Amino acid sequence: MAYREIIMRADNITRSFPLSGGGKIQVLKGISVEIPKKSITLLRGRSGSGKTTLINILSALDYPTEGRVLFKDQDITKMSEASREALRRKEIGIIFQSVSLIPIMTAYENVEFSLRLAGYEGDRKERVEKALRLVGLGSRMHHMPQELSGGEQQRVAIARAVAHRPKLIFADEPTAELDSGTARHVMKIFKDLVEEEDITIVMTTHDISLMDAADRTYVMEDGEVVKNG
Amino acid sequence: MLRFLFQKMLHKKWLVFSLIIGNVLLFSIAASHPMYKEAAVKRMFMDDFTKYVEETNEHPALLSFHFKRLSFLNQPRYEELQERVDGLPDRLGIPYEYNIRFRYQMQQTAVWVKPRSGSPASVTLCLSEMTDFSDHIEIISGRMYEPGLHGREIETVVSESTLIKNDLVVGDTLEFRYLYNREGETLLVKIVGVFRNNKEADSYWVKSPNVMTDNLFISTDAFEDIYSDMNGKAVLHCYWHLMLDTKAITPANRKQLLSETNALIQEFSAEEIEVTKPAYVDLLSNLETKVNKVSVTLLILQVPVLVLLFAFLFMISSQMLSLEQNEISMFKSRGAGGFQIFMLYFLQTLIITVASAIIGIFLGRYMCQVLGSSNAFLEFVSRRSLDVRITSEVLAYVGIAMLISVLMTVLPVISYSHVSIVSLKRNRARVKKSILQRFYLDFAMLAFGLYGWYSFSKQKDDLVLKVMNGDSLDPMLYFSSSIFILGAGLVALRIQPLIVKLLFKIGKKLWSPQTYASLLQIIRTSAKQYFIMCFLILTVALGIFNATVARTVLSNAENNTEYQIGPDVVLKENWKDNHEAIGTIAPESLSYYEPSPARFDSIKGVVARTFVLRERVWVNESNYAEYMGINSKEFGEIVKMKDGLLPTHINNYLNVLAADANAVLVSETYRSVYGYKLGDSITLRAPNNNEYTAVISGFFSYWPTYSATVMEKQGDGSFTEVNQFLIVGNLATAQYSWKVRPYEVWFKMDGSADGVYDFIEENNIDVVKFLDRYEEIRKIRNQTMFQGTNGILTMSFIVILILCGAGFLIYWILSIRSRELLFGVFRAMGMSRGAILHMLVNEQIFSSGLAIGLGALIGWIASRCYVPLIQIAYSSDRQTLPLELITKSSDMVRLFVVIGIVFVVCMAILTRIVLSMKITNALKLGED
Repeated sequence: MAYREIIMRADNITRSFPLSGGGKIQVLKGISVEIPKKSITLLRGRSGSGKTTLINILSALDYPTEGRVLFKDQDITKMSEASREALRRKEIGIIFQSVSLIPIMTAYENVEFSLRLAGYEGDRKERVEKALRLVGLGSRMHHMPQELSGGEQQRVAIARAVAHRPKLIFADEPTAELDSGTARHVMKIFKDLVEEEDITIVMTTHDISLMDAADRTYVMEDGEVVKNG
Repeated sequence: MLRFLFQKMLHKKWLVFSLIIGNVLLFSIAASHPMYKEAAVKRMFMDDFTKYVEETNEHPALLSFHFKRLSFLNQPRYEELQERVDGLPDRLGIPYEYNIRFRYQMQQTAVWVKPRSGSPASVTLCLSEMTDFSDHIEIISGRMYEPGLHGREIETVVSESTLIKNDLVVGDTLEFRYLYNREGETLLVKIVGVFRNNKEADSYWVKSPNVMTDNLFISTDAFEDIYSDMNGKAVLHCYWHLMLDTKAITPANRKQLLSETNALIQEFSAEEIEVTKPAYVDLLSNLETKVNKVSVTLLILQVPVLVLLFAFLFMISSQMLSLEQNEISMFKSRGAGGFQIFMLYFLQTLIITVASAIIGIFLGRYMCQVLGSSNAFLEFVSRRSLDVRITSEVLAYVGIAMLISVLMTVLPVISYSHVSIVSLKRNRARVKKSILQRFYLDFAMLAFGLYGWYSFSKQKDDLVLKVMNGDSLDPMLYFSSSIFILGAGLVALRIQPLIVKLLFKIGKKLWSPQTYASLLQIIRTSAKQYFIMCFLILTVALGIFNATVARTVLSNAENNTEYQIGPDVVLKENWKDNHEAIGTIAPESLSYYEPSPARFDSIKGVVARTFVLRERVWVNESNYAEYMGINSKEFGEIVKMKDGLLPTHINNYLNVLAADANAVLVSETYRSVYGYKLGDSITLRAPNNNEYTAVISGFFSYWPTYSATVMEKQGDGSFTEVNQFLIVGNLATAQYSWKVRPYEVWFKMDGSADGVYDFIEENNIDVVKFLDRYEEIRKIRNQTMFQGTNGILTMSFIVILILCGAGFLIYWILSIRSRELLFGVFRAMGMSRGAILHMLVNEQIFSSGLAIGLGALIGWIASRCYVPLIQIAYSSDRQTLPLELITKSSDMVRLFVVIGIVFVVCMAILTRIVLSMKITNALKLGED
């Protein structure tokens, strides 16, 4: 694999949660990962292996107990809440496992809303339509989320995550609720995005069949990286 | 199942709590209506009874039976009558205070055993006896009689008036020539004492001893000894005076009492027993129309708040069900029948309803006490408490309310219990328009309300006449006002999303993400918010409407009364005249002696006083008018005129009068009826035929005490409007031309008329006319109609505030809770907590805030339209002033402060929820 610039690096991340009965549970036990730019990085593992916790920390939704996360040479765990919010609005896109579209907005409005949040300067209409076409939903963009199938909704979520041209997209089990055909289609979209939009994608999955789509894979087990490559 | 139910209820404790609040309020209002009505009606007739006693000095529940031909030949008949009279309290269902038998023999001639010089040869007197006689007298001279017949001698006591009239003295013995004892000897009656009633006002004395000038009172056994021996030769009169305990007369037994009384009067009359109709028969029958009026008015005033309560229950119940939709669908999918689900909710509702009913009845009792002490809108004073009882009627009302409440809460279940998980998901996608909107029922209601207003406005004069004839105001009027508010509220609900949409469109490009999202939220979920919005609009509109009705009705009545009285206190004394000296009372020859005016200067609490001459004068040899002679300077200091009644300040009128001794101001009716003009000279002739010529220097439509027209009752009972004429002139001129004639003294007091009362009492003033503004106002406020209205409107207002607060809070908290995942998404997309709060504030402003604004507008419009009509029910006969709608800013402040507090509490809770929300947790919620 050719050398690639590292866009995000996590050093020695630990994360523990207090238990209701006292004591705590350690979910991440010193994890270090490197995310190369313009790549698809896969975090694979069984449920409970800590991949969602990790991705929440990487995407500035959650804080590690210890360790640091460098994004463009800045430790995002030390940033103010406002800066982290700005980061999420502008530089990061997030796709959730279950569908997380805003139910009161049409597909088009969902995508446009992320542009509004990011303070997108250009022609919003053009950008939204492009993003939706990219995921193959050009024709159904004025439907409400409830009127779309699960796969379609997930694709809207992808369009929403990429529309404001973030540098990094985090996707937590984006294909978990989709059939294999749709899942492959989503992966194809991801690949195209990396090619066309200069985007880096980090995703979690427990599906081995998706491995060949990835540039780099971290296999996690019980809060530790057991294999990478 | 019960365990499950309790767990479920505990889980939804806030909703359950709201249901209980709603139910408790509902039942307490339902219970308070009959309780208050009964207590108020009772108070009304107790007041009537008291007034009757004050005016006539007679017992209002006195039933007298006069049996004229009692002799010992028909002893059985007497005994039978006695028995029947004794049984009357049972028959009427009212215990008696007194059951007095009074027997006497018509005048018998008697002579003095030892004639005194100058005493007449004989007197005619009646031997009498009365039940419990000795308990009600005191001896003022001599001693009490010894009971019984001693040989041929009996002892007697007499009243002072008997003594004087018949020239008797204590110690005299009279011989009755035609009355004998067993041995055939004539009877000797010895006067041993003089008595009087031992209490000043004692209803025992149907006739005061002072007017019984021929009666010798002897003991009952002496009386019976004498007459049982007379072989039926003597014919006696027997009266039974039965005085019922008026306290035992209740609204519930009053109808039966009336019909029984009428029946027994007929019965006894048919047997030639004279019966006097007790006063309560007329008093209670006259009350009937009054009671109906009060009862209808009070009920109608309560209807809107009852409807709101039902709506509240329906809303909370639906809210609860929609939260439990998942569970219900799950049961369904696992095979639970619709009936089982229905039973679950039915049981839950039953538990809540029964618990609430018990609390509600007692709260209702308390509410009645509060109602009884309401003095004005949102004002309470301590006053004699109402006699509130829990009757079967109360239970019936509560029962009906319970039934409707259960229906309201359980009905939504039926539709939900048919929904399985599959159709549920399908339904969620759809947003339905409300039935009301789909069939344009809102417009229909609005049109109905407006039509009602239009047609009632057109027959306003008829309404006035109807009310003067004692009818209650047409319930349709109140009904149409409620329907108007409802219809307008629903139409406003169509407008509200349009306003938001317009805003959204205008700034679509410019809105910040949070404003954009919040406006979109309102637009896209308007169907879901329909009910709470409707509820908010109605509560605010009704709150304002109620406040305006209460304030206006009372202040209108008070203003009119104040205007008609003039100053704080009016006193006119009876002046001495020279009629005895000249031997005639012809007005033209009478002259009066003016009492010293200086006496008035020492009255405590008087701020100012003036003399006002009021005289009926003969004008221009053609018409009669009321003349008011005033001292313009003093008059101006004492009377107050509301702004707007006269085109300029009343002082300008008074100045015109002061400028010219012969100037007069005359009522506008002179211009319109007789065509008098400014500058016309008119001659004014007083009752003593003295005249003066005055110059018309001004016209007025309003003047203290003056009404341009009055309604006069005609012979056939109908009313016609009659023009009134008033001439205001200078007192000095009138007194100079007509000589000094009795005038009224007008006082301005420093807050109480007590000083004048003391003055009247201490100086033994012979009062011809006395008006006390404070007392009149107090009377108005004490009137059941006003008091009930104020009480009920106040109570409704408070209930509305509670409902408004609870509904608002519950709705928002639930709405936020159900959107936690969405907020997580927003946060994940990089929105700050502040932005989310901002979004919620926006939502509140554009949905609730707008709804409150629209509600206020509707309340205001409804007040403008309907209050002038509704107030007719309260004061039509005294309506002189133009009606002024009173909206007290303090009421509005109260309403909005409560809404503000609820808003702040709501925001505080929301802030807490939003701040404590962990994005990752919120998102995890979505994965379930």
